[in-house]
Amino acid sequence: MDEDRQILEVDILFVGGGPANLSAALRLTQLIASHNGQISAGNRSSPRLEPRIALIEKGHDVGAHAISGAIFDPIALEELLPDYRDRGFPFSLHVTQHSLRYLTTERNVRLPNVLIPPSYRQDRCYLGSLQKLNLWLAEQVEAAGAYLFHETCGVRILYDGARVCGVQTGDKGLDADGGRKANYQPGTNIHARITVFGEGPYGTLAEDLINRFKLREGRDPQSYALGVKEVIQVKSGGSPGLAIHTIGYPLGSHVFGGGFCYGFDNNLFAVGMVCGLDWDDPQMDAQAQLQRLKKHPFIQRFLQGGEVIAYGAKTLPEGGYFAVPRPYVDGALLVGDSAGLLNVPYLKGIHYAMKSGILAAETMFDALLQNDTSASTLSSYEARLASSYIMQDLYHVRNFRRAFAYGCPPGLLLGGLTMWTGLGPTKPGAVREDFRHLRPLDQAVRGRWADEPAQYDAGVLVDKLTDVYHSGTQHREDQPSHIQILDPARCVTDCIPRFGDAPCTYFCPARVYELVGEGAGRRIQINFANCVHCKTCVIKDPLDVISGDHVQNIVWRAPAEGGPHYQGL
Amino acid sequence: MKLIVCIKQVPATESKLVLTRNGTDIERAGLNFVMNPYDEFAVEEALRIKERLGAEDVTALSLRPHAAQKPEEALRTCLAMGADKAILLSDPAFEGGDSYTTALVLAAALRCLPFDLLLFGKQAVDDDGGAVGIQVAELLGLPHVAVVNKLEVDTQSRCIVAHRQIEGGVEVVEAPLPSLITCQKGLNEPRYPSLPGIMKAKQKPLEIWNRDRIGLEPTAIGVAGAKVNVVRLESPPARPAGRIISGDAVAAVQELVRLLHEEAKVI
Ligand SMILES: Cc1cc2nc3c(=O)[nH]c(=O)nc-3n(C[C@H](O)[C@H](O)[C@H](O)COP(=O)(O)OP(=O)(O)OC[C@H]3O[C@@H](n4cnc5c(N)ncnc54)[C@H](O)[C@@H]3O)c2cc1C
Ligand code: SF4
Repeated sequence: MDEDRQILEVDILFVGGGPANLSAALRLTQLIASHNGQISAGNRSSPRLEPRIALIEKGHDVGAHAISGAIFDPIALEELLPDYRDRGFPFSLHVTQHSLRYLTTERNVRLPNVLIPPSYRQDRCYLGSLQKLNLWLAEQVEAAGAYLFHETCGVRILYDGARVCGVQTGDKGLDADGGRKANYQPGTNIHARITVFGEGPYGTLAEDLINRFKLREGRDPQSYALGVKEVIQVKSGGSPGLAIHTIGYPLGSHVFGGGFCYGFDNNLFAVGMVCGLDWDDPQMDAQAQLQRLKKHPFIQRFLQGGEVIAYGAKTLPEGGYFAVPRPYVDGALLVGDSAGLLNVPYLKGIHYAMKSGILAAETMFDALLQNDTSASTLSSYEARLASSYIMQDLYHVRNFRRAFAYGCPPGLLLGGLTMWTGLGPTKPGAVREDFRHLRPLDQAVRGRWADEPAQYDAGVLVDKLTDVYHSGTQHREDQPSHIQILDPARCVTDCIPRFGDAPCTYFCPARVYELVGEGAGRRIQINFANCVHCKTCVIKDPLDVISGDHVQNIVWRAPAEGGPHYQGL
Repeated sequence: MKLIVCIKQVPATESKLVLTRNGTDIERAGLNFVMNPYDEFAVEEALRIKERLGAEDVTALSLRPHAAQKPEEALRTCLAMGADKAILLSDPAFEGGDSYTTALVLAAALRCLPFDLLLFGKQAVDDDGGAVGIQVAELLGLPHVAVVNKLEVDTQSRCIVAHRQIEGGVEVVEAPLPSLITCQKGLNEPRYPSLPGIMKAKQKPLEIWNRDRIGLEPTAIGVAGAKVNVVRLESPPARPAGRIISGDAVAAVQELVRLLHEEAKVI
């Protein structure tokens, strides 16, 4: 099969078109342009650099799979493009009213702003959609001469011995059984001297790399959260500049997380929930929780008469300092969420993604100058990260997320304390993978909501399938499924008896997993066309706990075709 | 042999459409646009003819219907698939017209270009008008065959044989070149642009032609020349919330029948 593959030779290949890789590509082109400028001006004698730079993104464009809050801290952008405001930067709205609220079933308590450390206040931040930021960054990157390939998914890492030498892109035009259709197009082998993985959280290839080279050895396993978000159009009464973060209702004390509600221009609101995937309840369903949040009187008043116009879901890496893997190997780097760079109490990762991209670019520029892309040269990336504000901030808040192992109210106190003081343990340890936390239904600590079914009204309160529709997700029904359950029988013989229900039918925010049939015919059906690529299922798949043999039952690989078509998330 | 494919860029089918304040158009800012799927069949067919018969070149032609749209992207896709050259008709005077003014502008541009066969999609999936291709044929005095799902080209006798699906059978039509066809699903499976194809597309020519280039009176085209006046657009009625009938299967079916009869009044 391999003989008919085309080969594309590049120098630098970026896998994933998020803020991390787009910033890296842009910074690299800037460094090269200035280097070549110096040579032309006669100030430098080394050879000119003319590397071929390519970026692949599985979405229809670099915005189609982009979902974030987003409250955007411009610190890294100011470094990347000091004149960004004169370059058509797409955000103009600032956060003007920020508050943190504790919600009970009916009421809300505002936590005084003085409790929030000054560096965590949102005043200097913009409100905007990641999609717009990515599209704008991509324009700058393309103008600088890099190649952007959309609808192109990296499916396999290519090695030359132990050295990463590029990726293979997915085969297109396959039918459901993997047979070739008339328009079959074999994937391309893209060869590169350095490959940068910026696939976001739990990257299919990034995780392959981390496992193969044991890049998390001696560190914590990564912990994640699932974020679900909707954009709501109200007829009037928008609140541009509003930013509310909530804790408490509807999450029980044993789910780490909370809600957000941001106000945009044109009577738009973004509402969402971010829930730590170490939840123990097999029936926990983040999309349903979001519907409950919107019914809370404090949030409801903003959304009255509104209509959901967009939906999306994605995981966030929350393990922090101790879960950051070694971010380099021979011929490859990890950036952004794929490297676990996200600040949990600040609920921000875009600026770290961008900054890590900048640092990766500086490292690659040195490597190109020295004509050496081996691990020893690329290791300076880790040192750069360590002395940047990313790892310094992350060290300071290293115990914030862990404090919540004690449940929500104590966690808030402890977590808050560690956030102010930076105190607490200084070593990794005692963190279990998220999937190990699931407990049988009758032993799980459940919120009050458990007895209160989510309600829908076809306007602002919508069921999961309606939300899936609003994500614009599409996969050809006759393409091979990118999701496999390796041993479907065990869903019914092991998983359901153990947990008292089928957890995947709840934790998947896009209703991909469905329990169908009765009696002996019961089975999990995979509606892969619904998938929004959030990665929750691979992270939370509990079979490993049951069998203890370190096998996952669910296998999710980024598909060669299809995915969400997010608008304004 | 020279082939020209006329393509339109339309909102992606999964787009959420919002009407403009005056209710006569859709908001285009922030929408995702793609090449009209029927036009992809046209592009693919042109490329296959070129590959099969060694035709000289394939040109992709499009018109910017609205300032907020970037048909350049769809044209780049054509180039990445294998077209040799692209032309975008872009002028504020062209914007806001109807199928007739679109056909007028396309026909004027086509008069400046040599061709043997023109290929269109059978209709654009945004307004589902299906009239532009045929009007262009009329304006240029060309024979046309619409809704083609199989095509043979005979360069020797300079004619095409086009198959069309009709109620209960197939109609086979012969037409001399130059002529025009509109393409239907089933004609072929459009190819995916390859990565080297996408890279090459960056170097291929994409010309922008304005009104001066093709010489048309501003009063005849765009909003001014349109024969159709859109009075009002309406969104389809909102789908009411679904209802799940619980209970055992027998009782649930009885309840379903009762609801369909008494509440929904459909049986
Ligand atoms: C609900 C939610 C709210 C958030 N709120 C905020 C906020 O307010 N402020 C903030 O700063 N941060 C926020 N974050 C975090 C922030 O969005 C991320 O940290 C940031 O997007 C990470 O950027 P990245 O470039 O590393 O990855 P991503 O933005 O995830 O981009 C990765 C890209 O790679 C593509 N890709 C993945 N695999 C492949 C492959 N194999 N081949 C080709 N392409 C691939 C994906 O399609 C995607 O486009 C939020 C996140 C979520 C989910
Ligand atoms: S199938 Fe997995 S990746 Fe896809 S939406 Fe569901 S949980 Fe997310």
